[in-house]
Amino acid sequence: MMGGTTTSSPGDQRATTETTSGTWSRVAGRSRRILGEHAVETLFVGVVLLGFIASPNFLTTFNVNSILQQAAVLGILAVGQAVVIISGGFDLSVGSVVALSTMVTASTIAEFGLLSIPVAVLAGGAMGAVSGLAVTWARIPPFVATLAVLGIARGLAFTIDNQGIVISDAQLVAFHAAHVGPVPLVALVWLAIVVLVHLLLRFTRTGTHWYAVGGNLETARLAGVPVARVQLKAYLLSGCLAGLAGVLFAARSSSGSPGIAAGWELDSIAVVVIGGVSLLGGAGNVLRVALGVLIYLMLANVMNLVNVDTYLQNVLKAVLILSAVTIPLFVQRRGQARRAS
Amino acid sequence: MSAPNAGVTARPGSSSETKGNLPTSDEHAARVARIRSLPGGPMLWVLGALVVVSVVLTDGVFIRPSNLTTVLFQSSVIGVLALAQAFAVLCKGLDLSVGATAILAAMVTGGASSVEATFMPHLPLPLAILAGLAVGLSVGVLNGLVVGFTPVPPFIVTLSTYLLVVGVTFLATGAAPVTEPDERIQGFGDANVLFVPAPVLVWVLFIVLASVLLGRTKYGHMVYAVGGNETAARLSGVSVPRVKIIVYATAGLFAAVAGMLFLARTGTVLPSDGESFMLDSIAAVAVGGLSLAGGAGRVRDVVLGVLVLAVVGNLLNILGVSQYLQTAVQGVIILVAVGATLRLGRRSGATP
Amino acid sequence: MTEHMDSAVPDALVRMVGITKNYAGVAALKGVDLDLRAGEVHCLIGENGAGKSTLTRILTGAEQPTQGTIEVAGHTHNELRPAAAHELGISAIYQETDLVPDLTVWQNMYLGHEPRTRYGTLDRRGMRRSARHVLDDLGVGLAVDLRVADLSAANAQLVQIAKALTRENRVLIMDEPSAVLSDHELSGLFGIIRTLCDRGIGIIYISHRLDEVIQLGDRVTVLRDGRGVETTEVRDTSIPAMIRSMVGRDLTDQFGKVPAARETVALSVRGLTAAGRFQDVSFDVRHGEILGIAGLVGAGRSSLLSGIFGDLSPDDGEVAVEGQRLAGGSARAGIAHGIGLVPEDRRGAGLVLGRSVQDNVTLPSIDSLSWGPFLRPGAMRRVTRRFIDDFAIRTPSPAQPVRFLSGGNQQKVVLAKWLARGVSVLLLDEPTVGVDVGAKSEIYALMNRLAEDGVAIVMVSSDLPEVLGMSDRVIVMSEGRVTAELSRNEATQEAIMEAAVPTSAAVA
Repeated sequence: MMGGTTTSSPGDQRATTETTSGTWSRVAGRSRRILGEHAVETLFVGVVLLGFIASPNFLTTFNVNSILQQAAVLGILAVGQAVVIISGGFDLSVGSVVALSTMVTASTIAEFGLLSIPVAVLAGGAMGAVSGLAVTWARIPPFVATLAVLGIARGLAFTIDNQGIVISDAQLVAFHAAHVGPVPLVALVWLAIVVLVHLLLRFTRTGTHWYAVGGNLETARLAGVPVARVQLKAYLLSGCLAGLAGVLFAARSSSGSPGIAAGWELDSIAVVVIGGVSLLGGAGNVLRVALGVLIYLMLANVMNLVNVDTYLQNVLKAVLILSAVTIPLFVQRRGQARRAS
Repeated sequence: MSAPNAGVTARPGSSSETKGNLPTSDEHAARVARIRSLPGGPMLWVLGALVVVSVVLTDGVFIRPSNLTTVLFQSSVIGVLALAQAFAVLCKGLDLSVGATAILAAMVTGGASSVEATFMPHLPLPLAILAGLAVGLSVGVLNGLVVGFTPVPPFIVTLSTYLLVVGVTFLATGAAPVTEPDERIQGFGDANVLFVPAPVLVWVLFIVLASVLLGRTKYGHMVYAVGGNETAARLSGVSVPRVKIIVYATAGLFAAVAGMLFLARTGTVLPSDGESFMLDSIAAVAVGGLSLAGGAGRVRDVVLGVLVLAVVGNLLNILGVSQYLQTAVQGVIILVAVGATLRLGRRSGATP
Repeated sequence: MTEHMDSAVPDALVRMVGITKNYAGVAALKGVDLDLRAGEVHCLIGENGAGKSTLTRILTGAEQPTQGTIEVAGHTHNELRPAAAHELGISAIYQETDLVPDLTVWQNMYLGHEPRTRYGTLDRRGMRRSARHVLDDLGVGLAVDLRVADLSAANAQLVQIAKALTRENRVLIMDEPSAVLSDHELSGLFGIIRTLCDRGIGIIYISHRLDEVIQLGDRVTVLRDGRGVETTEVRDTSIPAMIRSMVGRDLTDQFGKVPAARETVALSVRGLTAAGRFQDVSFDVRHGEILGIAGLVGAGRSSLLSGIFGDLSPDDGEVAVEGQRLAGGSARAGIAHGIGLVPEDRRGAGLVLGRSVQDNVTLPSIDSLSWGPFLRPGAMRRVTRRFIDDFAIRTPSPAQPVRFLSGGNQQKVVLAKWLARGVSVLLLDEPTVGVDVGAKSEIYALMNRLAEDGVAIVMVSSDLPEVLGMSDRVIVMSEGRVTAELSRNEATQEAIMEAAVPTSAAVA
């Protein structure tokens, strides 16, 4: 109900059903509404079909698993980013925090074993706390605050070791390689986080407050919502999840790499937007964001399978993001214009 | 983008300051007013303090002419790029594509004037420079058209053009570097006029140009109006789309110039160069104290922002702080500088 | 709930003493006292900008007073924060929509005080159920799962009222709740208010409709220019008496109307239509004439001004200035033909708040103040100086950001920016909203002067005395259509209201 305002436009529906009559147009109106409300799902199915048609290798277990493994890392980042954006902010630091987390994992795992996982997650959380406090306490615009934290996390990552550290811990590597049935374990971890955060957004007070603060900050404040604490929680969550994504990435690459994940903040924002979250805050749904992640990665995957030039892929990615944001904006606008009539 | 949070956030931790005791808050307001009315603004004093600290900490190495020249030389590229960013920010926008545009322009000019590169036809130097500038201008106009005529936020528009330009750069060059551009380009990078490196003079030239454009022309007048309140500007007869197109076109052009300075300074350009340009330019503008909510700030502030970051970088260098830790320290400094100036500004100018 | 916590004044739920509030040095409230007894409806009246909303916002913790104390249930506070005020049982229904558009009706109603189950999760079922109850009590049949963004304005207002009722209230503040309600909904609301009072809840009721005060109130406090003028029992006062204390002087003084209409038509509007906003509007305005447009909020008056100005493209009809037809489609078209618009939302649409007086005054006429692309600072300064002196704009310097000027002086800046350009038609939308009484008469004097100079003025106003006092002619709009055209002699409050109220009670 409250998700996906960028993709659905109630005014449009209402106008359609009011101004036209007859069974046929009612059907047309309804199908347009379903398409409008489920644009992300529609796009997802479309991309799967595209992949299926484009390459026989697309729907193989190997290929699907490789997409899922990538999706786990980007997807966990995106969940945190989505929560921050829903609550009216922005987190540009997530990529750097991933790099920091891989380094923390790699540098502590020899000593701590699997205990290094919570340590790395906490390191991410600490970065999230810095962002959150900068936004809420010092009241620095989220863009600038998280940009600074981007630099801080990246610098710390390189300071730990500027060459990167190889991980030889068998347990961690085995964890990443593990499968439950045919499905990679890490993908299930991602899925679990998506469902958990979805429940958090839907069924807890904090979740409602995230929507409220992002949707109308002044109203939330007047209703007695502890705005600063609510925003801080969002950045903390994003930091912790970026830390976890870093652990998974370290496991996948068997190393800590200080220079990795540059630009992932933009990827994470892109998939959140493709997943129908409004950049203005207050609306969105992490289940759709998960689909957004898959859409994004499957497109890249299909382009790889059919040998689209790597560099051309960047260009196509840009077009995808721009249209994902633009089209709903125009649909909405037309909806408003119609509502007026 | 950050506007919803910039204005009316909750005020944790500030309850003690607004308690009903009028005298103290008035005293405080007066103190703040004094700080804000320091000649040159607070940032100039931050820079001054930093210079003093640097001189003391480095036993005077910092103040040596050769070192000062190096600081200026190294900040000339970011200096021009930050000016490009400032145009977009003053118009309540943001341009994530400036860094990528700078590199593409540098590759085009370098490629066209080099005998080695194969992706561009060889052109005489003036034409090669014009080609680079034209590239910057086109990217800017593209940004401006989309920002001006559609409701898509500038952040997303310029993020897309950023990816587009990076894609085009790699596509065109096949990821190969441009080396050995026309020797006059490199000669320019090494040249000095009265002990001042030529790129620094170009930076100064563009500072003057930007100041005149923003402060002395009706175009600048309108940029501030659109950035401050788009609706009021429109209702006063300002053609908002046209102003936006001009703003982003200017940003693209300035970015191209920054790219050429980079080419002149380094002599070679890789498509992967300039990854930090986008964030550096935003950092300089933000540290300088331009409001990301638009409509407020001066060219002088942008220059100060660039210099503050450059002085800090140089100080850390001289002190032998590792390159890597420097990134982190810069992040901390952005937080402190922006946080402090925001707090000062907010208390003195509280409005209903 | 009705325990007597304070021995001195029985039943005092709340006592605000000596409340002063400054915004950037401008006083919005100057030592106001207000007390509220259990079970009473205490009406708060005063002109726009008198400080009613500020006073109530201080009580709800939305703003903090510069000076003064708030005593609630026997405890004295220097200031309240929203959460603390809620805990003390103080809730408010604000004038502007105060809901989160992307949350559902029930989520909005319980925002900030969501009940939880014993597992610590949200008690969604409980919230839905009680939300439905509250709405039923109000007589509103609204699905609680609807998103607020999909509601009509009237329904959103009802949800806002319902939202306040979900709290354990001792004090309820209502800021013009009746503005968008139909008669049926209004009588439901009055019923609720009486029930609440019987339960011992104290209600502060802000309204411009003085008949509501008579009908509903127990006591009434009048604010003027940020001061409390008087507090009386409603049964001891009358509508004329209340108006006298609100205005503080005889109404006829402040307008000083000078008839200046000439023969020639300056603006002519023919069959102007914008679907859903206004329909088939036609009128002429002569040079020197002031045409008042009256009507209820939402009657399409502001849209009509935008349509004439060109900022909103009409679907049909035409506008002509001095016999020349406007191309329409953008504000630039209107401006090029010599029209100026003074919008209702002065801060949001009239001014670039962060820029200086000079930058704002010169914005529309910047072409004539430039030499090629270059500004002429001397000419800009001269123009600004002239208007600062001429209009008596109180500002420390032309470089002062308009943000720091008072409402009246801000409005003078908006007028100055059009006159600096030279206009033959001026469209004024609620020209004196948020302007204090002193500055109001200055603005009226300016309007008279402009009319004498031959400017044709179209004034939209919800302030009936203003419409009656300033207009040479009045047209009344209702639901997007012109329902009456009255000469200065025919125009009375009754005649205007009769034409303004929609004939069918169908409100969306």
